[in-house]
Amino acid sequence: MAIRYARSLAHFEERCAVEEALALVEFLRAHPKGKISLATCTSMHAALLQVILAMRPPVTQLPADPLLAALIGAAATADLIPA
Amino acid sequence: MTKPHVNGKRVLVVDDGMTTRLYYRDVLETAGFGVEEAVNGVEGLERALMGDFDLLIVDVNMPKMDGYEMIAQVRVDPALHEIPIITISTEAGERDADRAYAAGANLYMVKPADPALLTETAQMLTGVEMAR
Amino acid sequence: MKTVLLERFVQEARELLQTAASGLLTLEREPGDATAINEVFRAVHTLKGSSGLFDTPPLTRLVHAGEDVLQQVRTGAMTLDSNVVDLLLDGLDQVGAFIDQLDRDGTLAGDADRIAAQHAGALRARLGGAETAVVVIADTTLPVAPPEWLAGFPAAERDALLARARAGEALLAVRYTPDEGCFYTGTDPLAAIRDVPDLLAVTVAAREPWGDPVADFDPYRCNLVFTALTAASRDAVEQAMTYELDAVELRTLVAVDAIAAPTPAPDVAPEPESSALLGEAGRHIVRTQLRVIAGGYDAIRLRSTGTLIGNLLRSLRQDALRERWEIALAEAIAAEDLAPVAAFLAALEEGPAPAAEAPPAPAVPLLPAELPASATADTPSAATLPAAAPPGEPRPASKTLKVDQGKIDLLMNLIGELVVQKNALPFLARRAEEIHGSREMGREIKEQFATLDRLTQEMQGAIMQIRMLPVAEVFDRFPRLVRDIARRLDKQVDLVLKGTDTAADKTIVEALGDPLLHIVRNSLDHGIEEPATRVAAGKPPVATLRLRAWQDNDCVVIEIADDGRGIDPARIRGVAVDKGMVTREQADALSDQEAINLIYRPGFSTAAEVSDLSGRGVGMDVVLSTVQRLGGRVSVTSQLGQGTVTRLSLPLSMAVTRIMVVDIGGSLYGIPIDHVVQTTRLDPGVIKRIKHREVFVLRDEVVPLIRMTALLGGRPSAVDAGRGEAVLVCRVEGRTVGLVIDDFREGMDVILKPMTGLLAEVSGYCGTTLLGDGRVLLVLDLKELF
Repeated sequence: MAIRYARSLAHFEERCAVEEALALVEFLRAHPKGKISLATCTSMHAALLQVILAMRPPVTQLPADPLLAALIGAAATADLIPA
Repeated sequence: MTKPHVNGKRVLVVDDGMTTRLYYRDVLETAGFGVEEAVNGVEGLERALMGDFDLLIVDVNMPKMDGYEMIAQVRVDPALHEIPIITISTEAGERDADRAYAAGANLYMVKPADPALLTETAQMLTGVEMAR
Repeated sequence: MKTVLLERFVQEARELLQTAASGLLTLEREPGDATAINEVFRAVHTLKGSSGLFDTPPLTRLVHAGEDVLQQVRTGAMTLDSNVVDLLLDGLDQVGAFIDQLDRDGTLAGDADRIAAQHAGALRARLGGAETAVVVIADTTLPVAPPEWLAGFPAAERDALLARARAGEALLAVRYTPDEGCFYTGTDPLAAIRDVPDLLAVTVAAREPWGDPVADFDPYRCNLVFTALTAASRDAVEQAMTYELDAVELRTLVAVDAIAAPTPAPDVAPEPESSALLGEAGRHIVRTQLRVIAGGYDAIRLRSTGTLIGNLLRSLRQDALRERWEIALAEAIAAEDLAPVAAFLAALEEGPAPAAEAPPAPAVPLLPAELPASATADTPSAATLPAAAPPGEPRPASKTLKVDQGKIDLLMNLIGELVVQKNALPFLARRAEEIHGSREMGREIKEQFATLDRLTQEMQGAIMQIRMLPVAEVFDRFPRLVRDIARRLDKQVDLVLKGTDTAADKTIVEALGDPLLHIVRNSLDHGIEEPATRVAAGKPPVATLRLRAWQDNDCVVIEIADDGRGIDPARIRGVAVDKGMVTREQADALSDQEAINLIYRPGFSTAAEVSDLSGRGVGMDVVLSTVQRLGGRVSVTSQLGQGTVTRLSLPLSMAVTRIMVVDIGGSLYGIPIDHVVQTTRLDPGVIKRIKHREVFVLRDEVVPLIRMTALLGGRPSAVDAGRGEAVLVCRVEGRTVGLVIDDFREGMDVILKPMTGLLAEVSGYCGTTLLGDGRVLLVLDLKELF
């Protein structure tokens, strides 16, 4: 499966591969307030993880996979912790 | 390829993987060991009980009888109380190593065993005099 | 060699993939089929083990992921639905494609890493949550992780893990900095870090600041750095990340000396001297033995450690240390206490004191060379222990000498050469007489030869004695084997061993094992009946299997007799015809005994009959070829319903053969002396003709005459009427024949060399030997000739 874009929300569906990184970057550049949903994401390539970490879009729902949830969850809350 | 002088030591290799057996045979024969093979724990046990070996190399995960069980059975025989036994497994877990020691193994190595390390270890365990 | 190994791997991998795939299909229909899941798991597991021998990390990685999924299915942690089966089958198909690439190109295609990562990732995504942590011994060789590595973890999680590490659990920190361009080479760093076993926590951070994400962020330049904490061992981590090791750094979570009791921390770091003496392999062996014996004193368990540390020290030529090890062992056994052994091993691992000084003054209490009197006197059990030295004596003076087999073999070879040299003397004697005309010199040389001959024979005999082993060496293995096999077959067997002290050459006794096992196995499988069948046939329910050995002249005879159902010649004929070994007409023409002999023909045994034993399709013909290779004979007699007797007859020794040299048609040949009954000269008048054959009468027996020149070629010399025809009377396979030759020469001991090269295909010769004058002598194999 792949990333499904619905207006300003990107749905990560099941396995999301490296090829989708560029499209995701362009989506987030075009939609500065765009959000992503990981509810149905089972795994993603590190390149997608890197886009999320670098561009910090709001994540509406964390994935079920514990490792992904931990990595993205930590990044999402990092803003709250003073450096 | 010239084989060095045979060292008179016999090794029984028990592993269900035929590539793995060929690999051990190649490494050990190159070092001058005599090598025999068995393809599962049951056959390994029979051959260990029959043959006059100086070292057993036993895979852990095998059909019919696994390596732990085979080693435990080997150690029942008083004639085989002394023989050095190496277990070689794809699992690097220390739990598996302790299980092997409890069954009667003397050493636990992880696959694929490095040829130089395997050779040196086999020579040390069987008392082959090494070049200074 | 590499290519042979790869060929073997390709072949094995295809078989294993086939097994796994068909097993998976069975499982899809019958998800609870335990046999099928074990079969699939084992196939994949074996494939993983074999693939590790080659530089094919993507292949190993994919197979490993499949194995982990199957392991969860096997333990019930995951149910195998059609989706998982699809994923596994896809993965196996991909492995098959990799194998095809290896077969064709000898290497994997460039995109293999990426493809494997995709499949492995899909499989791993099916795996459940965290695995249970494993307690491991701390790895002392790694430095401690710097604080900045741990900064990214949530404080509570980090502190909890640090506490576990301080309590003695060996936790590792893995720092993984993937290559900037790795996204282009198919690497998925996230999947790679997922592969680290026993993961406890992972963080990810930017290697360099991200900069302006809108302006200059390149999504395909990897700027990530991962830090993982794991309970797995260093080996396991390195194995899981083989293909990314360049980008990985490993650290322990806490310093070893920060680990609290009860794990006793080694107080001295390994010294450089120890690694110089033991090396990495040796240190690992010694360290492991400390763990092996850690379970407490166990006399049996201690024996293998005792032997192998002794071997280790012999291997390193540390004789002085080896003596001290023996003493430490003896003391441990006497006191039933591991302390002396543990102290020795700990000291050995750390590096022994320099061995040059005597008496040695080790830094740690290695035992002194003399055993204190109290050590034995205070321990009642000491007196009964052979290894315990009497007080005041440095070592028990043993009457048995353990000699390396290689040294005996060397001695054998030297004596063999001496024999050949000695055999040159009669030629020298003849030259002295014929060329130099000195009969006196010739006679003196012959006298010298006679003495030398006697001495070398005695020397040979003495060495033979050293090499002699009782057949008990082999027989003693059978009681347990027979019991185990019989139990598995639900049969009752009483094994009787006789003549176990009959001795034969070590080579013979050692080679006896396999043939005997085959015959005994065959008897248990096919000869001996189930108890009910036996009772119905009027026999006792418990069958008797006799193994008997005795010496018969220059042979050792081993007899295996059972009272089972016997061999049915009619059945043998039927099987032989079915297998196309003989035609129906030929089979019918065979006597019962000849039919029974068919079981030793190659191809008679079916794979089904033997696979359980060896899995290699070894039949009874191997028994025959093994025994024949040793110069022996096999015979089988059987009575239907009464039982079967198999007899192996082997030479007592095989190193030296005594032959008689004869002159046939102007050439010299050797004839093994064990065939020769007597030499005689026949007056032409006593030779009679029966039909077309020449015969003569010897002690009331009609003996056929064979003119060897007719057989071997060459021109017969004119018969000296006054002396008659030279005839060598021989026994061959139970028959007596007279060989008409031109002349007898001397008897000699030779080392037979098997026929090689062009001669290997020529029948009628059992080997060659080198004569004293450098000529090659052909030794006749009378069994093949007649």
